[in-house]
Amino acid sequence: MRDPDRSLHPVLDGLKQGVVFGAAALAVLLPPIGGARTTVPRLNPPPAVAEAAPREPRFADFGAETPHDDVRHVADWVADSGDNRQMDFVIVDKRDARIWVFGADGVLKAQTPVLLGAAAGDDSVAGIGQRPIAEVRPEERTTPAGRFVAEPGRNAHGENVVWVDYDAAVSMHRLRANEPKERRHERLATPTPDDNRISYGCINVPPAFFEAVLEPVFDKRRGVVYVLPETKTLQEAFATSYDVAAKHGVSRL
Amino acid sequence: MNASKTLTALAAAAALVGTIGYASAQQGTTGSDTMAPNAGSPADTAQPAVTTPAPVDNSTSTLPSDAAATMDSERAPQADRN
Repeated sequence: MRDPDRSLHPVLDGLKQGVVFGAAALAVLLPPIGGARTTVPRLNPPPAVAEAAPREPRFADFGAETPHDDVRHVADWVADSGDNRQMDFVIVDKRDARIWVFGADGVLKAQTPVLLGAAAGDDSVAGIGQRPIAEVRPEERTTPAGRFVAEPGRNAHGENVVWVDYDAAVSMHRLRANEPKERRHERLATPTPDDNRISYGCINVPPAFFEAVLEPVFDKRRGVVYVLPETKTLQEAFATSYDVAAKHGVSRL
Repeated sequence: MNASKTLTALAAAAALVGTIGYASAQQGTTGSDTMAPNAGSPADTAQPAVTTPAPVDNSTSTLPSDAAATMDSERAPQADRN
């Protein structure tokens, strides 16, 4: 007759050994539970650290042209910072009454004189975009300064334009000579920028330039327009701009 | 003795299967390969997941928001300031 106690021993022994083996396997394979509480979460490096990595400065390429310092400052900053978000961009130099058109890579495409708002100033009067043009007073005929995401569109006459500030009704368009006494063509032809302030705020571009340069840039695409200030400082208009050469500790060639 | 060996093997196998299953579950919760870029590693599931805020672009934070470069439609025509 079999001893019931002895018959159970093999079962208990087997279970004990199995538990021991299993515990040993758990001890080897599992991560330490206590340690998990103190594990530093694997986070992406802070953006500031990632951005601090040294890199080569990027300057705008003006080719053979020699721009004013403010134009160069903004163009270089845009090229280096990527502020244009990979869009083509335009710099409007109100003091020189001239626009500079760049590709998204910061390479100058072309530049030309333009006509601008007759009044000096860097802001638009509130609600001016909804007022008939005849009600815009002389002191309100400003071309606003700042950064604008511009886009192609049409004005009330069906003419294709580039809206710089749609709400304020400011656009870049072909030069119009609706009022002969304004002598817009003659003003644009003179070598001085002093007589280029005649519009109600819009930027008048030579028709050939508009069609050859601006239309391809804004062909169902947006671009960034930087209108340089004339009464404010550059830092007031573009608070985050910086001198690229100074930032990177190099000299601009 | 045969029964003892069988039980030992079964218990050890069960422990190993459990171990592997537990380890797989842990891997799924940490999910290092599929984790969202800014999500923290929820190693301690009793605690709320650690997250970091999305990077803030200070270069244009005070400027008009950008839109996609390509346009689907134009704005309504309106009079411009000539």
